[in-house]
Amino acid sequence: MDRRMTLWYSIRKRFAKSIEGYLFVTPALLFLFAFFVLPILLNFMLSLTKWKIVGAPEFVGLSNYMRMIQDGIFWKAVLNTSLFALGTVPTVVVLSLLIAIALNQKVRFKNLFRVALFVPVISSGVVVATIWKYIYNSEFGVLNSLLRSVSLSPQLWIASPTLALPSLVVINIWKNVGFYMVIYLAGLQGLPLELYDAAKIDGANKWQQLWYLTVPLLTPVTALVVMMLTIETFKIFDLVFIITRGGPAYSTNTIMNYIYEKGFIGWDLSYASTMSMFLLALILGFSVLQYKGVCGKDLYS
Amino acid sequence: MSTNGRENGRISRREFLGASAAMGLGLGLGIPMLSGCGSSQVSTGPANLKLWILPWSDRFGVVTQELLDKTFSKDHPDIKVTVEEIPWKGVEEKYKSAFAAGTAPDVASSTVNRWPPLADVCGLQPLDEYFTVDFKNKFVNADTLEMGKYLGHYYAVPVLMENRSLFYNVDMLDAAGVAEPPQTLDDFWAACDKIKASGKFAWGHAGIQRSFARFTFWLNLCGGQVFSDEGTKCVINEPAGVEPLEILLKMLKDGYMPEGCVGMTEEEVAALFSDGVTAMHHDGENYLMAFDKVEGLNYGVAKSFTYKTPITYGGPEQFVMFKSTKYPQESWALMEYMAVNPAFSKERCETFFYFPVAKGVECDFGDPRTDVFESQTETGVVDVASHPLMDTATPILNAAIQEALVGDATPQGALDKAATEIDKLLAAWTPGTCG
Repeated sequence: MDRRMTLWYSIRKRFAKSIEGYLFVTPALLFLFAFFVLPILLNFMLSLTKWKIVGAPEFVGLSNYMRMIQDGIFWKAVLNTSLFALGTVPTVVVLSLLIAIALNQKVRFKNLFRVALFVPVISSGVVVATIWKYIYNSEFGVLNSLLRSVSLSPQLWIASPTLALPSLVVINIWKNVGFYMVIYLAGLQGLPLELYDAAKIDGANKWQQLWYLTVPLLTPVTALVVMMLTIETFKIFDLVFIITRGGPAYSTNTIMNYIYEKGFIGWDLSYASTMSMFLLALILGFSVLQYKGVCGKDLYS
Repeated sequence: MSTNGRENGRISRREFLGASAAMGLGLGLGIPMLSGCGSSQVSTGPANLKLWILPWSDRFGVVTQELLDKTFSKDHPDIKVTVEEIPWKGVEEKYKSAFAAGTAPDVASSTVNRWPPLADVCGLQPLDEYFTVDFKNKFVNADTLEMGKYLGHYYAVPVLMENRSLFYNVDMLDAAGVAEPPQTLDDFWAACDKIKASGKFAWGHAGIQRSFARFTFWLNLCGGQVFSDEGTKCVINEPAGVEPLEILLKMLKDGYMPEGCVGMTEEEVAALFSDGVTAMHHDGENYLMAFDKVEGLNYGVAKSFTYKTPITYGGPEQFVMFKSTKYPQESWALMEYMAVNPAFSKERCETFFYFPVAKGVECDFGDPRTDVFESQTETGVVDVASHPLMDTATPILNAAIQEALVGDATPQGALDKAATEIDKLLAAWTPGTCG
């Protein structure tokens, strides 16, 4: 009893000491709870029910999860999303790093290039998707006109089950390179110059400086870029929705598109919630792995 | 200044805690008050009806409101109607969420596939008592009324009808040696061969987004259906459902239509016709206005060709009554007025270029070409049967069509797979029992 009293007293004392701190963070915590934690909890609860927006939800346990495991279209969407991420992430990382390095040098019209590369980032996803849709149009698209002009056979692009996904990856790369280039530029400008001076004295050429200094020094930035880009890519929706609607024949159906289709076309909100929980777990798992891989390491040693 | 602990602009701990408590109390009480918790709405005076309109043309809602004010309000001074135009995009979400939130309108416009899910969850008022013999006799074609039926009950009243016909490029048909636009499927194949020989494409099929809606034209021609008459089984993989897909595949394989169509929307396929890439196009009467604006496009309109069934595709603008309405009699008065009142229908159909469904409404479109469309309202039109799972089944059917057209599957294989998927949905679905 005395022990419990002592513990309670100690908690009270500690809380009383830092009550202002708790009050300061309370609005933010309330916001986080109301708009992040609570929806996730509600979403999880919904995934255990059968509910089509009207009427009372009916508790069905894990049957939605079982359905998801057996749903071939869902796993095709997972595969498509993973391929989409595999196509996008490494390419954007390499391209944005190279462009950032190039634009970090003393080159003419440097700012013009930076702005030009950033324009796709600030353009609306819907506008970008619509423009590319016309570029890829097999009959009047610019791309096929170019191919015809050099006597190459035109392609179906977004109408082909094999080319549709790579076509979307190209758009996603184009849309994202500018943003990650800016992040790399910021990273490059914060690198310690004395290391480069020392490397020059040791006789390192430009390539060696890039490979043995710049790339390792930018590891924290690269980790951030990979994490942000992967999360962003796994959530891809607008491009798919506007250009292909997941077709042809599910070849570009991504997890988000399938969630939308089930949730807001078929009104199967419980099943859509189940898939959302899977996506959350996937992104969370990836973020934790990424975090563990980067944090706690002395990256400059 | 410094006596209450406000030294150097700082506040004391006691003041901070007091202010925080006051703010918390204020928010706790203020937010519910501002959000109107506990308020109740009391209706008095004339019936205020809320009417949701889907925009089939520009200014559809505005003009409907003006027309109602001019005609309906004079005949029914005790009913006040407020029209709200609901964009097509996200219409399903809007209707369902409004119903779930208790903010649904009294009357709303809809289409054949959009209202059955609402009827299935008891959101709509069955209209059987109003569908008297006298009322039914006011319509040109009984088919249009049957499109408002679900599980034996009437829920939707047709008001206007969009009919689709065959648009053809006169110059391209002449150049190919096709004397007349096709009137049967055999004529169509003969025309396709000649057009192909002249180096052009005959047809375009919109493969994405509303792919299945375009497929229904062929499905109807072959006498196929998506669901069985009882609505409990998917029958798209039966011969009458497979044949239309085989027709499309033949057109693709034989070079009668561009392969890229599968990745195109309806608008892009219409552009193929207006740009002279395809020689024939199947669409609604309002495309006359769009194609008339295309410089150098010499085109004609003919009645849709027929095959196993004489009926062609048509989609009505339908009105439904929400069960939550406080004014069922007044709502019905409005629905009946919009459907069969000659003055209202005439002005509305002439303004928007769609056909009236009621007898005795003589619309003068000022364009003889519209006769082609109008004659179809009389001979028979059909849309896909109303079913609450049609929207859910559509993406599955779209994927099956694409799989057969540009994938590895055969039409039968793709539709078998789709039917299995749809049957799974049907197995988990319980038909509405609230009629």
